Amino acid sequence: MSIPAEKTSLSVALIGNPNTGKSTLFGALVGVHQHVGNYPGVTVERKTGEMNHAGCRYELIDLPGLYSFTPRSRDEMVAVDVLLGRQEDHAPVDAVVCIADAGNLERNLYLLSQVLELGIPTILAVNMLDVAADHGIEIDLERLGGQLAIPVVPTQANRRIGIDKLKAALSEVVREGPHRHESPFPEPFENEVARMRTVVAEFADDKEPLPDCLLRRLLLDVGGYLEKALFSHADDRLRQELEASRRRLADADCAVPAIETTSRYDWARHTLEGVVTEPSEYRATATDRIDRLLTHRFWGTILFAAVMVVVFQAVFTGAEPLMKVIEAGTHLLGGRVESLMDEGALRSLLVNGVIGGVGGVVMFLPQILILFLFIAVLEDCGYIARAAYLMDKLMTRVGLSGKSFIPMLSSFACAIPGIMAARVIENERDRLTTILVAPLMTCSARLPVYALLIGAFVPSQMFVWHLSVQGLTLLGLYLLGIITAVVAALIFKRTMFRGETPPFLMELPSYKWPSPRTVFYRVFQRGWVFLRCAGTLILVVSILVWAALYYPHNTEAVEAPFQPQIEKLEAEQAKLAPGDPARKALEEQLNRIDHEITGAYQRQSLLGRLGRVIEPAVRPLGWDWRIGCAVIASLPARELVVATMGVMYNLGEDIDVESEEGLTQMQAKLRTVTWDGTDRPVFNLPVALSVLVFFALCCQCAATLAVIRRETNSWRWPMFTFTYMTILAYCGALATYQAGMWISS
Amino acid sequence: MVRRISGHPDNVHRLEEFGLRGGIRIQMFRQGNPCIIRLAGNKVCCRTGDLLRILVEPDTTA
Repeated sequence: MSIPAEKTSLSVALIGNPNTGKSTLFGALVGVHQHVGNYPGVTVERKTGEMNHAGCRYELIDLPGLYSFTPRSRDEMVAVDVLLGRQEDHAPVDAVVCIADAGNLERNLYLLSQVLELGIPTILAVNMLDVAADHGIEIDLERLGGQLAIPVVPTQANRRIGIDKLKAALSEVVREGPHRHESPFPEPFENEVARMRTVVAEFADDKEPLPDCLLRRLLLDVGGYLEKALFSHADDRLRQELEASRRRLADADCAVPAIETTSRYDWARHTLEGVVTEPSEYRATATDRIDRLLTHRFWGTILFAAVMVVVFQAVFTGAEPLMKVIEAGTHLLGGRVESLMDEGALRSLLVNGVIGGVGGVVMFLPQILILFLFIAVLEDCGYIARAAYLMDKLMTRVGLSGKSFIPMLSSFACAIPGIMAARVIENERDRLTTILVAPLMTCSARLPVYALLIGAFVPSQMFVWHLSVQGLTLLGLYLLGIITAVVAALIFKRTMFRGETPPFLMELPSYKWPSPRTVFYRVFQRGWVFLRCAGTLILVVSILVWAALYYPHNTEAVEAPFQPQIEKLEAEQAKLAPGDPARKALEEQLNRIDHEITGAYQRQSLLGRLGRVIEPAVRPLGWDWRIGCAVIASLPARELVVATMGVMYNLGEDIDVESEEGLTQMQAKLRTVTWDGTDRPVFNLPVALSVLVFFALCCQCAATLAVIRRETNSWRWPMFTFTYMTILAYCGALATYQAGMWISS
Repeated sequence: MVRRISGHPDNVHRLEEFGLRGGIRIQMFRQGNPCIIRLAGNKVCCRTGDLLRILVEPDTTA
């Protein structure tokens, strides 16, 4: 995007430390005009919004919360690139609003000193003055504005105080242009900057010279992003020059990187002289009193467990009626399309492929929205940081940090919100490990498969204390998922994602009432991301599986053998009076033939044929070709296996497996299924357990894979997840069946 | 009072950018690893591991 010389549209970046109320301020400035996307090539979220003020249109960019510009992570590099206009499809910003927490001005001014170096018109918004006042901190804002020589605006974003002043200051600062900012670094450092300017210019040829702020970063960030980017296409001389510069700085008592914190904090302290008055004694606040309970090792953990119980109860029970509504809506829409169109490939594609496939995934939307509603409320009021603190000790044993706990726990409802919640983890290695093991947690989509097979094949006898074998099997499957996830995380952290654990630092923000506006946007954005995903990739996968189950659809070959029987039954039916009880029996027979025809079509389909091809591979698991087929057909969503098994074994497609009666009917029928051409039953306890273990460990869920692709911005990780989980599932199922047969023989 | 932070320069730098540096007054709120400390009016949860040490001395002026 390039901005013309006579600007009617200006781009403004919002930057600040985490927990300074930056997103709330962004929401207060732009209202509903927000868009969320990703920066090209990275997973860093790009949040933009529009605002109009005094006849000018502003595009606001909400940058990720940062403590410093030191580009250690992609978030930080993106922030620097956006501000300097080095980001693809983005011109340099016209102004910066730096948001500072009034309670911790010195640290916030550290980031401001880095922003001021960029030479972009800047405003300082001092936020959360009320919280600072609670701590007994007084700030002379007028004096601060004088010291900094930039506009300083007091704001209280959650109550929309100071928003108009900020807008007015914005148009003024853009008109006036940037203020000159003296470098906070000592002379020897600036001499080396000048020397590097000449050296880099020699290598840069005709390219634009690096601005001074980036030359400083090049000297300061040992092994940083900038150094890597420059050295990728330069000879060794540049590296040698840089190392020599750093050595000279160390000799002059200006060693990098320490010189940066020393110089910037000196500048911040000097700027704040006579500005901030703090009480000599720390004054305990309401947050301290609440924290005494909520971060208590025992009581805090008990309360955390109680909060989690409430959240998951709400996710499971609260979502149920909504899920039923979506399911009914999908059925209604499917039925309507079916009645409006003639039978054929297009109708089947729309009803079974598009509406059925996408509808089955959209059904999880209520769970996602409810879970994110709770996460957004808990996050906005400040509790999530306390939960991460409480769980950190437990998670470090697996090689992760406390921040991985909520994503892992969320995955018990559904891996998709869990993977999306992993964005809070800044450490890239921890984030990827969490994403890769999250699908091993038993999600709600596994329950229909568990309910069907446990009910049918696991004995319903009771042990002491009313513990049933069926209940223990279900518990065992949950534990299998958890233990496998723990082991997988440990292996990943010791192999692929090996590296020194950086110090774990996390601010515990003061408690506050959650802002309905912020909560609404967070929930809405998560829901929208999921729906967009369902509308694209999942749609394609659903159509592919539908096509494999539909084609070649040879009507002649499939229906001809049934035709004489149908004609005979229809003729008999025509002879009977409308109210005759024998008519109902004939109708049932016709329905059964209909199911047999559907089953015959599926057996003749590409998928049916594929099932026979892979039969030798699934035989060692105790499965016949039809179970193999059902497993392939359940690639878009694992719960599809129940419906596909029904079709494959001619159990009647219309059995409602969601209802208890339908489930029992299907279980009874599954027990009677035999191997082709024999009377040996297909299912026994070891086979059922082998299918259960397979589904506990596999990643048969297109939605999860699509979300992993979105969150990691690469196909490599969804492919890796699918492969390792399928291998695990296969080996687990094989071991279960073979062990089961050995015990029972 | 934080006297000195010892460890890999990058990790020390990270802590300093976070506001945890020599000469700063901190107060222990919850002991252990991770611990919670009070730092410039805010509370911070901190786990440093074996490779980083924050050396403190009692603040006699408080």
